[in-house]
Amino acid sequence: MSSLKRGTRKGLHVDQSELLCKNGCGYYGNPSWQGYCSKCYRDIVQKSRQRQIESDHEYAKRLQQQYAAENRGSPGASGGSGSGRELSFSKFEEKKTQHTGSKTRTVKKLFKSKSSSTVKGSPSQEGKLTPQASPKEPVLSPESQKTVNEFIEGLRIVRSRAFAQELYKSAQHFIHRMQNSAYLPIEEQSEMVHDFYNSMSERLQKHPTAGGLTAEQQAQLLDGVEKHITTRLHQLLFCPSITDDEQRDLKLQDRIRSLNWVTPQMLDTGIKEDDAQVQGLTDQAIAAIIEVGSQRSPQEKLSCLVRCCQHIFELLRVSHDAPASADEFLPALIYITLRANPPLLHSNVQYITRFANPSRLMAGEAGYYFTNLCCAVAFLESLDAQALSLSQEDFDRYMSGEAVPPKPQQNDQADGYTCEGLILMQENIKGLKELNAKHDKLMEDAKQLQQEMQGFRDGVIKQIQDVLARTPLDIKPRQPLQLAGTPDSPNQQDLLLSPSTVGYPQAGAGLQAVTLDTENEDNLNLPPPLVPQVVSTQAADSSGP
Amino acid sequence: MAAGGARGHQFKVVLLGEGCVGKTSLVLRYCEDKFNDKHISTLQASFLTKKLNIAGKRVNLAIWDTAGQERFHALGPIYYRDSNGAILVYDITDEDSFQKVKNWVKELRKMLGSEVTLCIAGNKIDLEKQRNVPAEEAEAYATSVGAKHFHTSAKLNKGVEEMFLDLTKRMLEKDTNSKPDATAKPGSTRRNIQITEDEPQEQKSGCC
Repeated sequence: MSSLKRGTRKGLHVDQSELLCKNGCGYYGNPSWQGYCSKCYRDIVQKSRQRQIESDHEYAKRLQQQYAAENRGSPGASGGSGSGRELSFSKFEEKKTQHTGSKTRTVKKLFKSKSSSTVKGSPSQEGKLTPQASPKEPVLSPESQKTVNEFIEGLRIVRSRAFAQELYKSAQHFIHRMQNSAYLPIEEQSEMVHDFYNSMSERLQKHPTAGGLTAEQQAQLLDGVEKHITTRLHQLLFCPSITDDEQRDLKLQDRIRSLNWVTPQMLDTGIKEDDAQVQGLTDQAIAAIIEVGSQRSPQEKLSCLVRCCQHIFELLRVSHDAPASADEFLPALIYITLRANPPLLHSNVQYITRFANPSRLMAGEAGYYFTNLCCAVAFLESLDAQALSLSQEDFDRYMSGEAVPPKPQQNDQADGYTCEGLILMQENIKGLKELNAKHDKLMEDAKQLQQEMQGFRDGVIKQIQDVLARTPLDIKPRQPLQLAGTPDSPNQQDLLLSPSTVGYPQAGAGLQAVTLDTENEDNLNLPPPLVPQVVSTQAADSSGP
Repeated sequence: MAAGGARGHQFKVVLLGEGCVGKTSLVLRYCEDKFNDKHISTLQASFLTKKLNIAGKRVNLAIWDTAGQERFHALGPIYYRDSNGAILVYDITDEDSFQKVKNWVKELRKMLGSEVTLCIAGNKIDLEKQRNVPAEEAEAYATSVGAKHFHTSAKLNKGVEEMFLDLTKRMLEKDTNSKPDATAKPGSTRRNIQITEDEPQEQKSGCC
C-alpha cells in the first residue's frame, strides 16, 4: 500500500498526455500503474518486493546478531556498537511509520490488552446507567463502564437533578467530540481537554443550583469529570500514533537499560542496600512505579506514583533517621526509576502532563512527585560521566559493558561480579549459618539446663535423704502406746500420729481415722482431756471391721 | 498560577540553594517549629504545605524543596516552572553558596520574568562570627534584583516566620494585581515540560 503511494508520488510528474508505457515497450501505460503498462508494472512491483524482502532478511539477521552480541556481552553492550545500532533503529522507525501503527505497536497493545483484561468491572448495571448508548461505541470496556458508573455515582452530590444530567451530558458530548478529533495535533487535544476542565470548573462555581456545593464537593466533582473523561479516552490519548511517544519510550527504555550498572553510591543516595528492610521497601517502590503504567486516568497514575514516593521516604527514613529533603529524595527516586525501568515511561509522563488537571500538577503533593519524576527522567536522559563523578573513560567502559564498576561495600565476597541472586544466596547462606550456630547454642543450653535440672533433682533428693537420715521418720509411738496401754495395734497408732507430725506418705489413712473420729457424735459427749487415746482406739476399733 | 476564589489562594514556593545551606531546616522550622528534632512528625521535608490567613484571605502555601547538588542544577527549570515565589537560601559562612544564589536569580528572572516573587535568605546567622558574605553586599544585591533580603537562623528561629509572611504578602499583592490574565496562562506555559529536546517532525510526503 505504502510503496504504491510512494510510487504514485514519483509518477505524478509524468505528464498525463504521455499515454505510452514508460518502459517504452510500446504498449499503453496507465496512471494507476504509475504510467507503465500492466506487464512492466507487475515486473517492477515484483522486483521492489523482492528487494524489500531481502532488506527485511538483512535487517532480521542484523537484529539477531545484535541480540546475540548483547547476550554474550554484558547487558550494557549497546553503547559500544552505537552507530550500528542507531542505524538499525532509524531503519526500524522508518518501517514503523510505513506500516502505520497496527503492526509494530505490539508493546503498547500488549499493555493495553493486559490492563483491560485484568480489571473486570461489574457488568451488572449496564443498561440502566447508560442513558445514551451511542451508536459509535456499542460496548464499553469493563473499565470504562466502571468509571461511567462511578461518575454517575459521583454526580449524586449535586442536588439539582437537571444540573447533574446537564453535567453528564456535556461530559458525554465532550467525549464524542474528542473521539472525532483524534486527528488533531496532540497539543490541541490537550488544550481541548484543559478547556473542558476549566469550563466545567466555571460552571460548577457559577451555576445557581450548584451554590450549595462546598469547595470540597466541587473539587470532588471535577476529579470525577477528569477521571471519567480520561479513562474513556485513554485509548485515544495515551501514546497516540500521531506522536513519536512510542519511539521515545523505546529509546528511554534502552537508555535506562544501558545504565543498569549505576549504583546508589554513585548517585549519593545514601541508601543502605544490604539492609533487608530497605530491600523490601525498594521492591515495593519499584512495584508501585511500574504500576503507574497499568492505570488509566492521570489521577490513578499519580496515586501510584505517590505510593512509590512514600515508600522511598520510608526507605530514606530507615537509612538516614531524619526527614528526607529533596537532596536525598531526588537521587533515591532516580535510583528507583533506574532499577524499575518502567515500561512506557515517557508516554506516561506525557499523558499526565497533557491531560491531568493542571491545578493538580501545579500545587499538590502528587504534582511535586510528578515534577521530581520528570527531573529523574531528564537526569537519566542527560546523564554523563561528570554527573556520576566518574572519569570519561570509566563511564564509557561501563556504558559499553566492557567493565563493571567495583562494588564499594566490602563484603566477604570482594569481587563485584556477583549478581543479585548470588548475593541473596550468599546472604541466605550466611543467615543459615547464623541460625545453625544459634540452634547449636540452644541445644547446648538445653542440655546444660537438663543437667542442671537433673543435678537439682538429685540435690533435692539427697537433701531430703539427709534430712530423713538426720531426723528419721520412724518416731516410735512409744508415749501414746504407754499412755493407752494397748500395744496390740501399733499401726493404728502410727496412723493417728501421722497428720500431726511430718507429712507422711500414708497421711490419707490417718486423715480418714481423724474424720471418723470427728464424725462420731458420741465422742462429743466424752470428756476430752483425759482419755483421747481410748476414744481413738474405740473409733479405730469400730471402723476396723 | 495561583487559583483564587472560593478555595483561597494557592501559591507554589520553591526553595533553592546549595547542598548544606539549611533549606530543609528552614522549612521544617517554619512548618513544624522544630530544629534537628527527633520528634518531627513528617516523614519528609521536601514537600510541605502551610495554611495562612492574611487579612481575611485564605492562603495555601505549597513549599517545594529542590535538590541542591551541582549535578542537578540543570533540572532547575522543571522545578520552578509555574512557581509564584522562590526563596533563595545561602549560608553566610559560605561565599560560594551566595554565588550560586546569584546564578539562580539570573535563571529565574530569565525563565519566569518579573512574575515570580523573590526572597533571599542569608541563613545561619547564629554563626555570625564566621561570616564570609558581607551583609551590606548581600542586601544591596537583593535590592538590585528586586528581591528582599532576610537574615535567618533556623536554629535560633530568627527571621523565618517574617520571611515567609512577607513573601506571602507580596505574592498576594502580585496575584490580585494580575488577576485578569491569570486564567489564560496555563495552556501556554505548560509546554515547557518536554523532557528531551524535540527532534524536528519529519515532513509528510507531499502526495495528495
